[in-house]
Amino acid sequence: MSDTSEPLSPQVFHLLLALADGPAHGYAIMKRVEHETDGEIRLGPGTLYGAIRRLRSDGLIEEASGGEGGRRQYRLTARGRGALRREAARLARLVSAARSRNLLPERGAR
Amino acid sequence: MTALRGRCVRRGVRRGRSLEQAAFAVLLRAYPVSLRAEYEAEMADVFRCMRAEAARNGGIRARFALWLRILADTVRSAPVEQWREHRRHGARAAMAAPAPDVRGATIAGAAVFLLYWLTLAPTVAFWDAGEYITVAHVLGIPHPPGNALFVMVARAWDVLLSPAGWSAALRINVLSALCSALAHAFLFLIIERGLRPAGRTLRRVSGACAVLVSASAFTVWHQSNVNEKVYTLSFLTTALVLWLVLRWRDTRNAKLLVAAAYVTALSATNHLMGVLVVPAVLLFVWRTDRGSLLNRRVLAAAVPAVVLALSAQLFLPIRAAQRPVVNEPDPVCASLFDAAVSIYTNGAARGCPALSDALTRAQYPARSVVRDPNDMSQPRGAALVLSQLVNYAQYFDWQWARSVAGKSPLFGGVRPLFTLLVLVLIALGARTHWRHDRAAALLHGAALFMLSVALVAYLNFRWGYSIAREQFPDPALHEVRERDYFFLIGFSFWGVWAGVGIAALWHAARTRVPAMAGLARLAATPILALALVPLALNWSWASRADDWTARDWAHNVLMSVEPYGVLVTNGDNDSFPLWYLQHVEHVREDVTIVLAPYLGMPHYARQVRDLSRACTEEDDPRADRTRIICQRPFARDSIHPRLLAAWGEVRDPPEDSILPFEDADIDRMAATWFTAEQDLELRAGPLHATITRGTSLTPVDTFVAAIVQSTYGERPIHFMTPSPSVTRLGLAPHTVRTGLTWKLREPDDRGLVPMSPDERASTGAWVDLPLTDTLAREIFIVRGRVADPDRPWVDHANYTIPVQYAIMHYAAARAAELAGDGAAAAWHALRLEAWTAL
Repeated sequence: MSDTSEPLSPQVFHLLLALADGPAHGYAIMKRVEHETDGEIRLGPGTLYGAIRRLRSDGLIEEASGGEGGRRQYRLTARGRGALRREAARLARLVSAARSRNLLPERGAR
Repeated sequence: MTALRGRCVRRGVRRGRSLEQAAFAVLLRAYPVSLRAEYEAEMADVFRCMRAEAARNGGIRARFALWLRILADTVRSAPVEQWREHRRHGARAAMAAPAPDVRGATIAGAAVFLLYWLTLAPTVAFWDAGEYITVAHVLGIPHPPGNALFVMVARAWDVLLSPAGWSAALRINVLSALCSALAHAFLFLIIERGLRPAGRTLRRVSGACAVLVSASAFTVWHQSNVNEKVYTLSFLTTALVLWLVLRWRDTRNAKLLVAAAYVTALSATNHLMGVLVVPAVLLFVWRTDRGSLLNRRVLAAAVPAVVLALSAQLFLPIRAAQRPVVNEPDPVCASLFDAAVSIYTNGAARGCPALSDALTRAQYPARSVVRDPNDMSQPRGAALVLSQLVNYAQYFDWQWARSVAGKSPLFGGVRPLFTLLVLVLIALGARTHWRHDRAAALLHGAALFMLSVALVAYLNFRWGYSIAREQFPDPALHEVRERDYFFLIGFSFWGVWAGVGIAALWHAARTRVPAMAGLARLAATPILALALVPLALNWSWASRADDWTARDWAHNVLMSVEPYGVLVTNGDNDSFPLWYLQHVEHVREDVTIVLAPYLGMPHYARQVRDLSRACTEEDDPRADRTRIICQRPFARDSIHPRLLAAWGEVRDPPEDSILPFEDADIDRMAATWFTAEQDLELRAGPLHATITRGTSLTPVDTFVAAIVQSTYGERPIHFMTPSPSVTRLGLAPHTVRTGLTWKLREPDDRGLVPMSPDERASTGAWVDLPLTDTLAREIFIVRGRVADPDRPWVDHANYTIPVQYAIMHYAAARAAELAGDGAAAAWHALRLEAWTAL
């Protein structure tokens, strides 16, 4: 089991983020990630299921019951949600640090 | 919005499967089986959804983009998943790998070493033992391919053990025993592992029986208690490599594969025998995990490891440049780069011609696996192939009960019955191995195939030494000696299976009589005694304990040569033990040994020239006795006073080399073949010899004639008998028997007894009876095994040694008889009888 205190890779972060709204099957996860990242991260089936296997093995996600149309759905575990929170906080701190050095526009400004 | 939320209607994966879906299914095969087993259906479903979306969004272009994305994803993620799978499996395997029975292996190896120690040769032996022990001690270069690894390892071992106070020969013989003992420790581990999941008792008993039968197989034993060849080192590397790959299978630690590649390449710098195991290893790895064969990381480590291992060959040109006293192929190179070109092409490229010639054994007659070795214009016929297989079967028959009808070399007496028994046990052992661990049994069997059948096919021997002698009486059509030593490792592996068979028999007997379990267990124990049969029935033939014959022979030959004499020898047995005595024990270093057949190689003639040249004031030939400097001095203090008295006045050191020629002259002489078109006269001072018209003269004869002409009168010239050059150069009427040699008669020789013409061919034209009698009675050493009439003369091919002693005593007895000395005649006749009885 990997150490969840380590920073998550962008792919993993977005994949966990895609499940933050609720359980989803593979294709739905792929589409949510694509949408969340404005198409910047486009998972293929191999990358997606390789990541799903590892996240399940690490206890960050698990199979959810009652899948749509017989499809297997996945959802965050408590451990996964915690890892997601920690990563989000870490990113927020990074953004805040960058903003304090005028590397980013002020909140709300474009 | 449907796509955004990831809506896609679920369908059966196989129902209505399109060509694209089928293509995607093929792509999925790039992923590990475990991933596919769990997610293949879902991945296919995702693909179907993506394809449906592409079809909705833009037809052909969108589908093309989809496929680009899928392909890119596969290329990016499949290798990653494969590698993760590999590591995951490796970690699991390492945790589950059975611990090797190191204690059992240590005990087995120690027991084998004890056996070899008890039967160890105390000194040098015949054939190549003198050569290899000498090169180990002087860091010399033996005959091609040069055996770089052996020389370096043996020299290091020689130095390491020097505080023990043993002779160098004993130290190197111990190395041979140690290599074989270590090989058997690995064989124990291999069998102990290969019989899992059987119980520990059966595994240990099987390992012990396997090691016992293997170690006491005649050739394995007889080659392990003396260092005659370099094959015990090959044996060790072969067993080690097999163990490494078996261990790799258990742990999936790729470093073990790299180590196996390194050890195999290193073994190639000893002898190519160690490479024969490669096909078996590749087959095993391919069956176990074919991905590992071309795994980038494994190759990235294995290739440099192999390159590093092969660099051991650089020893050859580096040491050759320092002119060691034994330097048979003289692989001197202009630069290390040239040497590297030869080494890394195994001599195929001519970067350094001398080194390439050494590595490819160019000095030996070319052989082909499809041509008759006795007549290269003819194909390798069925009769010869059959004879080669019979020859192998003959050696196989020797392994298990050599002393039974021992003097009968071909399936003598009831010996084949023991062989049949062993064959049954081998079949049982192979079956047991196969049932427990098919891959390990296949590895063992494939290695055995390479080390037996494939080796017979590759070696393509002439008619065996003791085969078809009546059908082909010409000795030149036969191998010069028995060649069983080539099959040492194979015989060990047969023995391993026979040992496993014995253990299986024992196990079956103890477990298949449930009603009398306790009694049956007890009654089964004697079955294990079968493993002791080779030990008991090979001991008297395999033991080399107390065998001083070769060392004493060398001493007696060298003492037969007068101070500063030249001794022209004929081959291995009358040369290599002499090298040992001169260069290792420093006995009679003043004698210039000329190994006649080597004179055809100009570099050897130059070495003889330089070794016999007069020393200048700056030269100290004893400053470094491992190198050629100049004529070595006669050590008067080391000679028995009676022999000094028999010789009379000792000459001064010679003032010139025995071959006082320039390199170009030597090159020309080495290429001189001619037939005397008329009687030719060979003159050397008062010596006149006639070379008969029609005699074909070789470069060897030309060199010998040159030595006689340049040296006669200044140095005594001796020959080992029979000497082809003496006959061809018409020198036979001038030969005088002095001990075990013939000497060219000199004008001031006195008291010689002329022999009758029909005896001269063996005795020499004259006999120096006082000198020969003194040598035989007071100087010669004959001790140990050879003096015991109850112990067999094991190797018929070097039977010429007792024959030489017998001829000397015959000549002395006849000369004494002619001189009217009945007592001396009777004494020599008695010795003649004893030598003839061997």
